[in-house]
Parts: sequence; C-alpha cells; structure tokens
Amino acid sequence: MSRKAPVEIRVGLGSCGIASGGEAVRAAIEAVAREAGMEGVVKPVGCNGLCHREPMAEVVNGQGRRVYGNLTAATARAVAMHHLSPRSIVTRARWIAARNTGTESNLFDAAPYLGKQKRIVLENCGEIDPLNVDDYLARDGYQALRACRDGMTPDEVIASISDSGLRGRGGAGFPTGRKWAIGRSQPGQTRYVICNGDEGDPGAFMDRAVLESDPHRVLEGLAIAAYAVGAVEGFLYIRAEYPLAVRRVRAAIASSAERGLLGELRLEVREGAGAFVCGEETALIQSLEGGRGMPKLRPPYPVERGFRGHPTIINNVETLACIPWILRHGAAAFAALGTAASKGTKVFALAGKINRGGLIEVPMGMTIRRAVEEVGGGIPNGRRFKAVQLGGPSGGCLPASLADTPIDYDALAQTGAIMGSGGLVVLDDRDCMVDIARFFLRFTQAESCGKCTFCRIGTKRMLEILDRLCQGQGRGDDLDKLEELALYVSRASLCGLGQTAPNPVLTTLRYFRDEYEAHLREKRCPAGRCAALIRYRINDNCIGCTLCAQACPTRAIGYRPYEQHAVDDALCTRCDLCRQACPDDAVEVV
Amino acid sequence: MIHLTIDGRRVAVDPGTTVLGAAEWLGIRIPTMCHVKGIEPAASCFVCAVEIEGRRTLSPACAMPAAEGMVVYTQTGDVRKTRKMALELLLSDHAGECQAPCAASCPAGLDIPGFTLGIATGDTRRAMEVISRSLALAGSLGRICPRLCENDCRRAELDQGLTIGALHRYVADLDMGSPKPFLPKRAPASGKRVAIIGAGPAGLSAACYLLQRGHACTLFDAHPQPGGMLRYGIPEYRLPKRALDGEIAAVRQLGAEFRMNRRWGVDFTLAGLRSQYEAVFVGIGAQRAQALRCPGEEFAFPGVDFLQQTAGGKAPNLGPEVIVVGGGNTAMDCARTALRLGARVRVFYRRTRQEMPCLWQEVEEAEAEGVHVEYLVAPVRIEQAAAGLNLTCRRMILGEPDASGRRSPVPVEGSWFTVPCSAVIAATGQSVELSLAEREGLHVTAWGIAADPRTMATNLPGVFAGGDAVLGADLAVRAVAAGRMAATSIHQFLSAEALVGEAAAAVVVMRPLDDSERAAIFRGIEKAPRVRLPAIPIERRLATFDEVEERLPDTDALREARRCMTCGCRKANCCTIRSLATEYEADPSRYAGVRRRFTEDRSHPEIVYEPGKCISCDACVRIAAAGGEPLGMSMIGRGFDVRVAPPFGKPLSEALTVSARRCVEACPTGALAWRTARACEFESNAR
Repeated sequence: MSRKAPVEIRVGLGSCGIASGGEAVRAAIEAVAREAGMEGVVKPVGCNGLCHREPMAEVVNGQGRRVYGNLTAATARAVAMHHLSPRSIVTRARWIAARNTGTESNLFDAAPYLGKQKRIVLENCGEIDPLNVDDYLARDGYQALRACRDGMTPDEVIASISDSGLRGRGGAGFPTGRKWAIGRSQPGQTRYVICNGDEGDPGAFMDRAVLESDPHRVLEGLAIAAYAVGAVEGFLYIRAEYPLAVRRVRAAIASSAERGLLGELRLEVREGAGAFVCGEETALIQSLEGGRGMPKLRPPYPVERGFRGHPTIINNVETLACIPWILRHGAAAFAALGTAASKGTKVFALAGKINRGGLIEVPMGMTIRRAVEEVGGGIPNGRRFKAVQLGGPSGGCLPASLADTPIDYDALAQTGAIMGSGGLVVLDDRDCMVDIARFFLRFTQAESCGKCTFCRIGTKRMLEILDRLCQGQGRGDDLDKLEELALYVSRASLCGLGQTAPNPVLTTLRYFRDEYEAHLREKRCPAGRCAALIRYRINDNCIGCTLCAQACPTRAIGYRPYEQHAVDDALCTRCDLCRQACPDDAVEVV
Repeated sequence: MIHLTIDGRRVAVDPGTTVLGAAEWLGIRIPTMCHVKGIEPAASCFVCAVEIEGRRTLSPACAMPAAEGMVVYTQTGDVRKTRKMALELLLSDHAGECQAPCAASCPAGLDIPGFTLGIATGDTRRAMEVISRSLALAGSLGRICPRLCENDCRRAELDQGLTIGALHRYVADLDMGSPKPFLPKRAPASGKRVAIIGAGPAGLSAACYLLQRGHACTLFDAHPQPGGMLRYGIPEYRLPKRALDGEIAAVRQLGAEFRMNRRWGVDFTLAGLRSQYEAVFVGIGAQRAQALRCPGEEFAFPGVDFLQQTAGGKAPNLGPEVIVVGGGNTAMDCARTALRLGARVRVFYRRTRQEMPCLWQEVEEAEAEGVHVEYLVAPVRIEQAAAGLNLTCRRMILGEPDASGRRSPVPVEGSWFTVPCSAVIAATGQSVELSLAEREGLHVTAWGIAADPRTMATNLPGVFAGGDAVLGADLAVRAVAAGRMAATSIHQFLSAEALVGEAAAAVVVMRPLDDSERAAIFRGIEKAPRVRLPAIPIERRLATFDEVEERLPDTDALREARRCMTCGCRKANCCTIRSLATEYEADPSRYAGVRRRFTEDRSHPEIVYEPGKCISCDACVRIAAAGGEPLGMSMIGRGFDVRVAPPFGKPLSEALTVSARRCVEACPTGALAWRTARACEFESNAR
C-alpha cells in the first residue's frame, strides 16, 4: 500500500492529450511514482482546454498548482522526480542528479489563458478523473439532480431553466426552457430525451472534450431534462469518430446506474455512423430509428412528434452541461452573466492562426477581439489579424473590423455570421477568403444528404464557381450567379445544413468582395494563397544557405551553395515549404 | 377545421391537410414532382415551393401542414423564380436527351425515331401519320432534303448514320401508291379564309396545316403550276414531277384552292387580299437570280431561269460547251441538267470543295456523270466571241475566314486565263424580290421580309411570312417547317388566341458524350452498314431525265429502319420535369457543370432504369417501401453524388418486383420507363 499522497499529478488524457503522447507521459510519471512508493498520485484527467500545450501534467500540492506542457517521457520523468520525494535516501540521491534535466521550459503560467475565462461547462474538465464517479460527486455532482427530484416539481425545474435564459448551444439558440415546456405540454405519456453529441463541424471539439472529460455532468443534465419533461428513456447520440467519448460515456452510465444515481431513467449511447447531417435533429431521429439520416420538414418539430412519433427533447451536449450548474447556483447566477438576450458562457474551440489554440469558455458578451487577443494570445508570427470564421461550415466570416462585436446570438447574427456550435477559426492576412469559403462549402457539399435540389446541386454549382475563381478561370457573371445561388440555396432547403451552407460564401462576399473581384477580373489572389494564381520567387535577401533547396520536394530549387537560389516555376507545386524553410525572408510569393 | 388563406382566398380544411391539399381544394395548381399521392412526402424537389408569411424560408407545399391563420402565396415572382431555378439545377445534372439528335437537328423537328419505329414494326401507315404531323411534302423532301439529321445520327458514331431521307421517301411513296393514301383529319370548317401568296414548299405546307384546322386556303402563284422551286428549281431526275404532283394533289384534296398565273402587283395586291381574307401568308420564295457581278454578266444565263425553262418543257439551247459558275445545289442541278441536254459541262467554283454549300453527294454524282468541277476559279469578265462566249477567269487562294466562318477566296496575281464556251450559267445564288413587299408596307431585312422567327408574324397584323421569302435562298425543309409554324400562328390569330407560335418544349441535350456513355449507349447494338441506295445506271442518267435514285426495296427499308436505335427519351412526351421546364421557361444549360453520366439498367423484364436522368426525388424509394418490396430502392451516397439505386448493388429486377408500374408512373422523368420504347406516347394517344 502506498502512503497517502501529498501531491496529485494530473495527466491530460483526453483525445488531444493521448494524440500528442499523453500515455507515455503518464507511464513515465507512474514509473517514478512506483519507485517512490507513491502509486496513486497520478490522476488521469480530461482536457483542460490548453490543447496547444499537450501533453501536459499539472502538479497540485500544498503550495498550489504548477502546469507543465509539451512534455516528453524524459521531461515528464524529471517533473515527477522533482515533485515526488522517495523515502529511500539512496533513491533520493540518485534522483537529484537525474531531475536536473531542466523542466523549467516546460513549466508555464496558465493564468493568462485560464484567468480570463469563466468556467461553467468546463469547470471539471482537466480537474477530475472522468471515469471516477466519486470524483464527480466530490465536486457536487448529481446534487442538482437530487435537488430536483427531492424538492422541485418539473414545472419549477423548467421555470428555473427558463429564468436562467439558457439557449441551445448547438447553434440555433432556441431557449431551452421553452423547448422543455413545449415537450412537457404534449399529449400522451411517452417522451424521449436525447443528447445530441454528433458534433461535426470541422475544427470544433467542444462537445468531445466535455464528453471525455466530464461525462457525468452531461448525464446529470440529461437526467434533469428527463425529469422535467417526464421521460424515462433517453439516448446519447455520439458520433462514432469519438470512440473515447463513447467509451467514457458508456462507463459513466454504467457507474451511475450502479449507484442508482439515475433513478428510473434508462440511458443508452447510440453511435452515429459519420454523417454530418445527423447532427440535424430530424435526421438524428431518422438515424436512431434505423433509417437513412435525412432531415424532414419541420413542423412537426421533434418536440411535438419525434422519435417513434413521440415528443422528443433534443439538447446539445454543452446545453446539458450547463444545466447542473444552473440548478446548483440558481438561475439568477447564470443570468447575471452575459448580455440581455444571451446568458451564461459559451465554449469555443479556438483554432487557426492563434498563439494559444484550444478550448475556451468565456462569458457571453465578451468581444471576439478579446477572446482572440487576450484569451487566445493573438496572432503568431507578427501577422495581421484578418478575420474569424465563426460557427464552422454553417457560420460566417467576421472581418477584424467587426471584431468588437460581442459574443451574443443576435449581435453575431446581424453580421451574417452565427454563434454556431463554437468553432472559432482565426485567420491572418495570408488566408484567402475565397479559399476559406471554398473549404467550408466543399465540406457541406460533400455532407449534404442529397435530398433537396438546392442543397444537392446548388451547392455543387457554387463550389464549381469557387473552384473556377481559385483557378483563375472565373467567368463574367460568376459572382452574380454565386450570390443568387447562395441566396436561394439558403431559402429553399429543408434543414439547417442547406439553409446555412451558403453562409461562408455570403459573408465573405459581403466583407471581402474585393478579393473575389481580384480573383475574377485580375486572376490574382491577394493573400497569395491560391496555387494557380501565385508564383514563388527568391529575392536578393538570399544568402545561399540551400535550406530552401533542401526543403523542396520537387527539386524546383537547384542546390547552389553561396549563390542566390531560383525557383523553376514549371516544377514548383506551391507547397510553400521553401518559404517556411528560409531564415531570411528571401522566398516571396508573387 | 383549420382556416388559411392562399393567394388571397380563404379556405377551411381538416387538420393534417397539407398546403398543397388546401390549394387543390381551391383549384389552385401548385406544380409537383417528388410528390406521390397517398405516400409520405419527401419535400425534396422544391418545385412546389410556396411563400408562407412569417417564414424566412420557402416551404414545400407538399409537406407543409396547413395551420390556423396561415397566409400562403403560390405565384409570387420569388416563388416562380425558385421553381425555375430548381428546374434549372435539376436539368444541369440530367443526363438525357428529350429528342433524338437527328430529330433535334431537323429544321422541321420531324419525329424520326417515331416513324422509323412504324416501318420497323411493319406499320407504315402509322409511320406516315407520324411524318405528316410535322412534315408536309414528305416524299419530295425525302428526295431532295440535305438531311442535316443524317449528319447527327447517333449511329454514325458506331458505324454509319441512318438513311433517314430515303426512309421517309419510302413511306411517302408507299403511301402514295396505296389504294387509299393517308389524308390528315380535317377539323370542322371554321369559316375563316386565308390567302397564301406563293404555292411553293412554304405555302403548300402552310395550306396543309391550315386546312387541317378547318380554315379555307387560297394559294396565288405566278407560275402555271404549283410547287414553286420544287417544280421549277429542281430537275426532274432528282424530283420527278409525278411525285410532287401527288403530294400537291393531297393538299388540293384537303381543300386548297389554287389560283395560278396570278402575279402579285399585277393581278392582285396584298392590301386587296387583306380586305378579302382574314389572314395572309406570304411565301414568295427567293426567285431572283443573282448576277455574276463582273463585266459581261448580262451574257450569262441565270441558273434558276435555265432550270425553270427546262422544267416547263422549253429547255433553252446552250450549245455544246457549258460553264456553270457557282457551288450550290442550283449549280449542280444546272450542270447535271445541261449534261442531260447533251452539253459538255464544267463547273467553276471560287472556293474549294470543302466550302461548297451543296451536298457532297450532289458533287459526287455530278462528277460520276461526267461534270468537271474546277475549284478556286472566279469569273473576271465575259465577252462575246465569234463562236459563242469567252469567259475570262482568275485563280484564287483561300484567305482568312469571313463572317460565315468560311475562308474567303483571294485572287492570285497574274493568274488570268480565258476559256471559250457556248454558254455561261450563273448559279451564284438567288434573292428575294422585295420591292413589292416594301411597297405594300411590309418591313424587310437584308435577307427578306421581316418576320418574327417564332410566330412568323410580319409588321402588318394578320400578315405572316416564311420560307425563302424571309430567310433568303435556303433549304426546302426550312420552308416547309416555316409553313407549318406559320399555320399554327395564323390559327392562333384567327381564333383570337395569344399569338405565341408553336409551343417550344424545353429540350435537354446530352453532350459531349464520354467514352463510358458511348459504350453504354451502344451496348448490345450490332454493327450493320447502312443500306445502299438504289440508283439507275449512268448511261440512263446521261440520256434521260429519269429519277436517279429509286425507292428502297421493302426488305432494305425494313432492315434500315431496324438499324434505328430509337434515341431520345422514352418519356419525352409525358415527362413532368420537361413540361415544367417548358412552363417555367427553364434554361437547361444555365447551371451547366459536372453532370451524371448516361447508364442503363436493363435487368428488369418490363422497365428500364436510367440513373443519369434520375433527379433523386426518392418517389420510387417511398413507393417501393410502401408497396412492401423486400429490397426496394434506396438513396446511396452523400452530397452531389447521391444516387437512387437498388441497395447492395442488386439488379433492378430484384428491387422492384411488385411496384414497377407505380414507380414508372410516378417517376417525374424518364429515369424509370417502360422497356417498350415510347410506350407512353402510344398510351397518351389512346387516351
């Protein structure tokens, strides 16, 4: 038996941590702990959002918390040796030499990142062992559910959620309390609750992080929803591409059921088979029923007639994760955060040209600029902040000039972008907006279920126009056609996928029309991105170091030490490796 | 009951009724394609889109439940535009062709696969019926038409194109020789009278179709006999007068009244006709021969006059050595006619054989008969000489292409030469005699009388014009087509309907074909050469004006008709997307881009599936499911590449065992159709 640990070393083992080598870090630290006779100090946790620093370990002891990032097995070992102290004097002596590997560069201050956030949904992420129900219980877990069942009527619960001002976090922002109230008011006995965990936007991983890091929280939220609307059966629809989330949620269901925490409620995980459109609620229901995931016209809404024809309340992971907090702290505490019509916090997956990428949770009302610059640490490499792409393929591009727009459903909608589910991609001056629009449209086009004419063929024709523009083969009326198609695809499609698919195009056309014009009329890509429209050139800064020639995969740059190099345009594939390799800014894009 | 308002009209319906159902109740028609009565709606095609107050997006009427107080608009500009766009998008990914390529390139739009099917099934009467729906004077045209259709015959990509002209001549001749030749039905007399100036192909055709509609027709013509250029411009050996006479007799039998030897401006005026008749059709042709435009041009004999005089039995004596200047059909006709009159004939043409406007076959036959054609030679002057004429010419070379796309000839310096001859025939073109038309107040163009290309209406109300009179010297088949189209417009004019001309149905084409498509199209089709056209021996050709080509023997006609692949869509005339595209004037090429490819699933004994034509409306999927098919159809894939197909790669024969009929009937395109080609057309005729 090991001694009671004076310290706790948390190792991030969400998908992000594992992917960057977290398991090796854990093994290294556990080996040291074993040697020290201190098994049990290592706690596998989920993701605390500092994805850019994974693999990571956080040491919590009497003196406070120290965060180490970008660890390797060796540096992790040194960190562990530094913080653990073996009883044997011999071991201790041996360690003193070994631990001076220098872990100072791994130590960093997470405060600028975490300090400006407000953590409700993510409050336990990276803090608790997701598979340990006691850990969750120790942090007031399942208290809200117990409080509901013991002391609140379903109507009181719904009233409380309504009062909190919580709106759906999946993208559309429908008031959660109202949805529950409608569900509850439906005739008939049978109702279902569903947690929508089919997160599919490229670049978005909020729901995955929550499901992996704090699964019980989602179960609790879903159980409260079930209590409020009178459901005894529920599903968690999680995409199969999230195997870790599926595993942890299944384990969480098993352990909470074992403890009787869920009461009568039967929960089941159903895996989505990889169709983006199944995140749309009517398609999700079709998929749950065993059909092809294809949306249907609403009305009737699922809350009126959903799974197997019964009223079905579908809430997003993040929405459900807010519920326990609201009931524990009171609706007023939640409503105190945010703006008039957008309450609480919002989790974003910060990606793109940003110094501190990862998961952040900020209060509603914070401006986009603060989220990017203060929380995310701004744009790397001294580039200029050009725009953010919000809400993934359904969202839009917001130019830097509008970055002072607050994070608020309605304020964002006014710009043409949307809050969306929380993807936030930061773009700098080397990102081509036509290309960005094309990227997202290619995604939605490929993911369209193919049912509605406009979504199936209209988006394809739009994509063909964008392809032409990026190839420098735009035709005279392409922009008008693009805009017209965009408008009608959004107006004449059944579901959210089609209705929002043109948003990236519409917003970039609105804010960056000059870039489109340059592609069309001058066959020029102002951001120097579109391969067909640019050339690489080596200028007089060249010192003849040959790094570019070594980097070039197609031998388009001849190997000429101490001479100015040159690019053979015919061989060049515009892969940009030479420019990245050059230490003297001698490679330029023209 | 639920109360709602559609296009300003209130209606009360039972709960559960859709907007489409409510509109139907009011008699408001909303177009649909994917909708199948009695089956859960898919709401996929979006042609039933309507605007509902308070909804940002347009709603599919077929699926939208009516709600209390709902306010619906079904015909706003926005709604119509959405429908049109939906159709255009669907057509941009529709690998099919409404019409066979041959029919599409026929100026008269002759339903070629339709009539060859008649021959192939032994029903030549039906073939004649199909032909006469769009073509008057089928026998004459079968002989002389340049047959643009044959160039575009799909079979040409496999072996050789069909001999279409010979086939419809076969049908017409057979019919003409039958005890009771086919005569189109006549509508009851309308009491309206139409005057037709010119009894040539355009006028005869106009008369033929006007008479069928019950209008009386009187044809005025300056010549002693009707037929126009067919009689006076085309020699006997190409179009025997008895064949033409037979066809004119049919028009007469329909009720046409001919007033021959009446000259416009001398014996009657347009103003006079307008006062006596309810409408006038001007089909005066292009009668005036163009001069050679060189010194001494007055010594040349105008080609059309030569042909006309010969046709009238008064062949002029041109002597032993004739030179024809020109490269069109008239030039060839003049040359071969002069040859038959005993002369030695040379043809001078200023460009090369490639640029010749006449048919290749004509040149080949002329040369076979002994006509010598010299290319790149242009006349410079004609002088009288002791023993006839001296024609001085110069050599040319081809320069840059001109506006017509043909390379224009450029003279070669110092290449003059002089040829003695007994006569020069100028066959360099004809033009329309416009002075009379102008004097009577008709607007004219550089070519002829100005007329709307669709309705044939001129600037004078009730006066229509068509054929060479409008186009300048052109093909007879275009004149015949113009006559028919004018008849439609004149009928509209006489019945006080909107003057819109013939309905032009939307046409989808499938081009270019790729190799896979060609393979799919020609799969199972055996190569077979086209039949040889029977012709009389050269000796007889040189000595007589006997018709050179003979009618196909029955066995050859049957064999040739069976070579027809019956291209075009099996459901061309009962296709919902086509009729809606016509109604909404959708342009199938507006959103052209990557498209499906043509393929065919012929595994089913009764029906054929062409996935290329499928618009993924999912009607068959739902019908098969509702019909309890064990396998059924399913949607496969995602995005643009979604396809409807039997699941698991199974053949159609297993997928649709009991619901094939319903699926074919519900399929809004030709994707699912009866195997029997064009069965629905027969059905719709029966109806």
